[in-house]
Amino acid sequence: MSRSGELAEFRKEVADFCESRLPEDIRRKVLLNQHLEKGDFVRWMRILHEKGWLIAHWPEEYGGKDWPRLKRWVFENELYRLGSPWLAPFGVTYVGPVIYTFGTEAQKKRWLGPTARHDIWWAQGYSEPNAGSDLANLQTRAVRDGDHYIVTGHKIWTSMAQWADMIFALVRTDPDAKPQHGISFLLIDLKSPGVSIRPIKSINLVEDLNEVFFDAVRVPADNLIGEEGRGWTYAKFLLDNERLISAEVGKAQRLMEQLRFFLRETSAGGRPLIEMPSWRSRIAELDLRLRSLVSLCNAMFAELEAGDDPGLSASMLKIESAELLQAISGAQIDALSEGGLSYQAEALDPDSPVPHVAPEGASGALGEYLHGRVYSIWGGSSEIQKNIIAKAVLGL
Amino acid sequence: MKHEANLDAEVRRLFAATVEKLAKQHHSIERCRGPRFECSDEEWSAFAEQGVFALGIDPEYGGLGGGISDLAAVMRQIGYNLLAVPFFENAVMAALLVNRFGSADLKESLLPQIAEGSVRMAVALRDPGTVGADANHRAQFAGDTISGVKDQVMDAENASKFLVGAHDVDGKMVLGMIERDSPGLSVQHYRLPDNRIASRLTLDSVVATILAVPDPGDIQAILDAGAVCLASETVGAMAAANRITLDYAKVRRQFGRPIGDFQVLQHRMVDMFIAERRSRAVVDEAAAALDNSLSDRTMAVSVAKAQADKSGRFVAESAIQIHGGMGLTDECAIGHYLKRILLNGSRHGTAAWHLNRLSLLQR
Repeated sequence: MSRSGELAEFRKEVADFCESRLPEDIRRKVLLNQHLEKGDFVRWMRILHEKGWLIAHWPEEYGGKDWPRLKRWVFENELYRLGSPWLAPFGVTYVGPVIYTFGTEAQKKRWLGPTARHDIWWAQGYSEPNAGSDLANLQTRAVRDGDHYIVTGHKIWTSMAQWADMIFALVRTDPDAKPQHGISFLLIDLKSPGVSIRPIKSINLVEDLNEVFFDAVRVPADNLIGEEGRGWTYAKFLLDNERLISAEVGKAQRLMEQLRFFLRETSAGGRPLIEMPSWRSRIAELDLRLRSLVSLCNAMFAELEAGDDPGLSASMLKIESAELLQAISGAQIDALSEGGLSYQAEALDPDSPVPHVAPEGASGALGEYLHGRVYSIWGGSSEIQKNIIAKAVLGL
Repeated sequence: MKHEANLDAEVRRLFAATVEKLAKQHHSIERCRGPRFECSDEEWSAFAEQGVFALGIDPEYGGLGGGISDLAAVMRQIGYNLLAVPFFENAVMAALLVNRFGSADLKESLLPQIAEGSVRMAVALRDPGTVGADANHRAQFAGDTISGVKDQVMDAENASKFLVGAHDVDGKMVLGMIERDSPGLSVQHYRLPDNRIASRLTLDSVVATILAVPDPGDIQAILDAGAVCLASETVGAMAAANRITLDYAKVRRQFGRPIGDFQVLQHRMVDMFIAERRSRAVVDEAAAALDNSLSDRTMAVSVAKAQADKSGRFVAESAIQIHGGMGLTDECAIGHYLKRILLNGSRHGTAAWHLNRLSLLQR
């Protein structure tokens, strides 16, 4: 069977599984852009793990199936298209691969199993108040003290730290080295004395982002991954993986379907919006961008398998995907406004009794629009991605 | 609706300064964070004492005789400072509607009260599922009562009187004035994303005082004046978002220098600045066109509203981008400006509604 034939068959298999096994209550929350609880994420990820798919992109010796990146990408996006929650990537896609690539045998033995089963919820400790786009400026200090490091500092924008058991953090072990050279990669138990977590209320009123404070936290030196001072290399390896999966084409497809639904259900002047030429050309334009992004992803993943540096494709896909997701949710807001949605905030405040005028899912759409501003900011802003491409690809 | 007697530029500036001073005394961005963001009685009284609600009312009824341009100037300050004071509902919409359609008696009794702020009114023109841009009101007036549903009524919690748009049995447009405690009126409140409270009114044979509307075009003209005033509020919000962003870009340092040193952000901020200035220009022209009853005022209004709504989105979204993660927090003012801009964009005609009206005027 041809390569694309195999993938099409696999896509069908994923869709069938998702159809039959994704719990209905979870699917519904996702389709309505409602807030999910930790248990929702974990329940679904464990179902996928039982099926052998959650870490199938890991090497066989660590329990995976050696899936190539393209297959993993097809897998995730087929799920997202059908209403699967985001597969929290902190463990299975971010730190897991760092551990099996750069860790010691003892570290692999200790951390990979519980990470694969999602017994540990990992958080990612990268950004700091003065180290956002300029990540290498991070100041959280780790000072060696016998068998331990003493960690003091302040991380910010830490997604879902309120649920996390462990954090993998970039810490400065050598303040005298050049910024990128004095950084190390450390695994820290969030229940350690001296750790405190403060939630940040977001623009969509959700509290999934956090500040994490370390006040002289003692961390076993065994939790250092790889060599001291080489943390930047591991972080870059991880960020490339992060940006690659940020091409959330499946989510874009789902939001496009929802946009079409809103356009069918919403009328202006007695006529469904979907019949209006102006709307038809606008969704055609969005569909053009979406289909082009799918092709771009296919092309990029093929090049990756030929051994290209993933970082460069990752930057391009992240920029395109962020802009497209924002354009689709912006169009949703326009469609709902045109139909006279009075912007009820019930998704922001589930207890508020509100008369419905808008199609189902409308208020979640506003939350997604507001939250979606983050796509061009997190994991390295679009401006930073463009700098990377200008320098590394175009040679400017 | 001709306003010969616009205030002179000096008086208009004074008024804007008064609103700014009141904003400093009574407002902080903390209040926008909710859970309920409303104009308190104290704040209302402070605005009333300064004569702010008298701005557009004729001098014979105790007002200052200002025009749409004057009202728009105050709306700009309200947007800039992100206030909850229901100036739009009272000093703009209620004052214009009563002045145009009220009987001599009603005008004599009500307009002075609006001017001095001794009555707080709400305006219920919008039908559910419409963009509130045109004079189509499905509520029915029969006998001396009105029945029907009105949506997204602002400040209904605090208002003692409502102006409701309806049709009579012959299909002729009317306005009904109803009292807050009238039998048959039920009001459901809901929180808007910016924490202000809007309400849905359900009227079941509610007794109303009727204001006759001989020509629906006159209602349209007042809805258009409202659109320009909201666009002006959006321009004020844009100006604030630009100022806050510019200040931030000068102090926020990354890579050893202020982020404002980076050309890619400089260009974006220049685009934001141009967007604000172009919106201000079209809004000011539309307000002047209404004040002078110019023949192309319909086009000017739609240009103003569509331009301000679109540019406002661009400015607020860009402001968040330049703020980075900070812009996505509820603590940061920028998100509150985005929400106000979005809501203004959904009232008195969306950008799409006004673009469509523009398209019908193309020859």
